[in-house]
Amino acid sequence: MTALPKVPGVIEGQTLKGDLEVSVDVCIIGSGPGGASAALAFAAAGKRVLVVEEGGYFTKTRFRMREDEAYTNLYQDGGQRTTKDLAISIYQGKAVGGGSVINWTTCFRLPEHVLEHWAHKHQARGFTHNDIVPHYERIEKRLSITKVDEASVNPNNRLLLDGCRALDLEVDTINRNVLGCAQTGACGLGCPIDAKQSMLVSLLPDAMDRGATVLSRCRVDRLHFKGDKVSHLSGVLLGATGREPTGATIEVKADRFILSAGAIGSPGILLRSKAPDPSGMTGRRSFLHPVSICAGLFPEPVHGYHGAPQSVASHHFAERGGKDVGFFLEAAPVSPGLVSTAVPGYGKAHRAVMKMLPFVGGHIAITIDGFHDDVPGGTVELDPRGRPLLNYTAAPRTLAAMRAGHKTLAKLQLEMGAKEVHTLHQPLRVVRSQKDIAALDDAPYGPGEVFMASAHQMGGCMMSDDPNKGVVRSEDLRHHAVTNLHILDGSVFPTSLGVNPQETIYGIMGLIAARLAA
Amino acid sequence: MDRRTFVKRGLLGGGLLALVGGGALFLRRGAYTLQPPEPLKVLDETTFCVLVAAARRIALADDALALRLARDVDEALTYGNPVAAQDFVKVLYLLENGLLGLFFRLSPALFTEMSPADQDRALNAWRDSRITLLKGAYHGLRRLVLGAYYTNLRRAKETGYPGPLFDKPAPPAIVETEPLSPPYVVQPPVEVVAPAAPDEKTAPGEAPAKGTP
Ligand SMILES: Cc1cc2nc3c(=O)[nH]c(=O)nc-3n(C[C@H](O)[C@H](O)[C@H](O)COP(=O)(O)OP(=O)(O)OC[C@H]3O[C@@H](n4cnc5c(N)ncnc54)[C@H](O)[C@@H]3O)c2cc1C
Repeated sequence: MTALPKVPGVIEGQTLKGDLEVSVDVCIIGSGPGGASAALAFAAAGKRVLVVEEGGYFTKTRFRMREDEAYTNLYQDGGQRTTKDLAISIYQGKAVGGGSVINWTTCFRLPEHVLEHWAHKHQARGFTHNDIVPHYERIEKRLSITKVDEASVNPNNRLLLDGCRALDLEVDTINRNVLGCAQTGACGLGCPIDAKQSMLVSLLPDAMDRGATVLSRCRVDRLHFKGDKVSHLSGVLLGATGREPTGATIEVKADRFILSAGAIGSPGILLRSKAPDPSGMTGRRSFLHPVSICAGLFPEPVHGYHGAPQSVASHHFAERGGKDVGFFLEAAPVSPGLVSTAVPGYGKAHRAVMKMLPFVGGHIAITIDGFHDDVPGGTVELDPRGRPLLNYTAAPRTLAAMRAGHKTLAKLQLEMGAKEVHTLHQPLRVVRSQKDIAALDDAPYGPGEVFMASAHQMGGCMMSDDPNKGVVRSEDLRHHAVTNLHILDGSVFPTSLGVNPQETIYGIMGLIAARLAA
Repeated sequence: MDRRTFVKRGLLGGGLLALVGGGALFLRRGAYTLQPPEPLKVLDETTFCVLVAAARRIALADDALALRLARDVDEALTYGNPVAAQDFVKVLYLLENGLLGLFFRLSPALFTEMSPADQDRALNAWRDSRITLLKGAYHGLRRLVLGAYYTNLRRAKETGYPGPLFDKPAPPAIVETEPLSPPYVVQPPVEVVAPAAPDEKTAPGEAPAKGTP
């Protein structure tokens, strides 16, 4: 066994030889928004912090706005992750910085009513909106989260803005975490100029400047328990491409372990470790904000692959009342690789749509799952090799919201002059008129019958102050049965959020990390 | 397809999937003489040839391009979940499988030996199948091939996509035991202050002071 070099900064796992044994005050698993928030708080409090991250240390010299490089390097499963039934494409980050490296920079504070719902329905009462506010303010300063000026929205987002206004829907420009954005449109491929204030260029460097070490290409296999504590974790180091272990192993002992491997990743590690699970909720209530998409073909070029991918949103339908699942509207980047996998069909028909790419406007309806008893979310399981796999079947009410989202977007795109709107159904649905919109009432929404995707994974280790209902308690996100294990990432949410998740993660995890480090 | 036929075929299909999963292949073998441009990593020579045949139809690829796409999919699979990659190999055996074809397409022909029109019919049979697994397999195959086609910058430009907003030099090739990036240089911690207001006119590369190497 050799010791890990005691240096703050990033150590790339693939460069190390021999098995490692490490002892620190705090070990954090995962370096996305949750893990980075924890790393900074503990490092600032003078703790010896080690962050272990499966993804690679990719920096701006390797971000060339190329889809062929980005998906394999920066996404879970090389961008091929899906739900168990293959019906929903799951986009999730895997890199130093986690999903923040490839996300689309949209920032929202959590709506207060969601926190109230968690308190009443899920007994998560450990913090209030007012507790989080200073942490929102801090992160908004640090990540330069500012409102987009209407003049700078790209034509794709402009269609959404003007379309909502034409239909009298509430709409506004959003906040983004960028500084000196050059409008490359490549947020999803890693920012080529570090304008995006991802964890890679913000909280992780802040933590490293205060002594934290980040070990990349280190996959945590399992946690080991002694009594009611985690005694150590074990894992393997991976080669630079992350595909194969190098053969070197690692064992980390720490006083405290912070699990921040993301929704899907965190419950996966707990299941693999056979962690105590008194509530039986580990891996349950996983939510996706499943997305339905309309691709409108416009008479003028939209060039939806350039410019900030998201700068406008409408929450007009977020709370539809009664039993209806809500949804919100945003734009999506029209990158050729991404679009090619979403457009149905193949051969000539597929090529004909792809040839229209510069004229395509891409808009999405993001459904808000988890607020109704009959929308219970999915379950994280382990596949035969022990990798996490999400078993998620969209509930009928969620599918109804996706249909309503399609109809709204189709109407909006036609209103804005689209010659035709593709809803990405199989068999193909092309909407050219109000009559075609009405016909969407008969469109199928079964697995494989319409393209569905998710970039917002949440839940799987939900918080509740009732140990029979949640995996962690809310006041400090501590595991109910493991006293030195806290979970700080998007997996602790008892429902989806109804807004893009990153700022909520910074806010809540910043608050809890500050409490723990105090 | 009525419900009874569906159930009958579905059960049979499920049985065959199980057989393929268990390794017993009811497979008349084809010629499979195509040479992959590089040694294969996930596929074998049979499934490589099936994928080449599928890529011809899915991406309208000529022979050379179909070989390239099949090789690129083979490479992409090494980044995916290993269990899913093995399932994909089984899917390609299924597509080729004559016995399964007999039940689903009413034709015992091997996929690699079919006419292009029949290959389309075989793909469409999966596309339109009421068995979720086959529908999923159809989409998986389609997406891997089309993804390999359109994530390539040169081919993406066929759509009218002009490419990235500016060029960046290619970084050094990734070597399994070498660092991916220059080391992070630790700086004396400063109190986090409010960043300057973003300047819309900032030129690429001039952005923030604290960045990555
Ligand atoms: C394409 C895309 C666009 C998005 N756009 C937006 C947006 O505009 N606005 C917004 O708010 N949100 C957006 N999101 C979502 C947002 O980025 C995520 O919600 C957020 O990153 C989740 O943070 P997290 O800390 O919970 O987990 P993650 O960011 O997923 O980080 C978890 C980390 O843990 C690592 N890990 C997992 N398992 C292990 C293991 N066994 N060992 C070691 N490390 C492990 C992973 O590699 C990963 O880096 C987007 C996401 C994607 C993919």
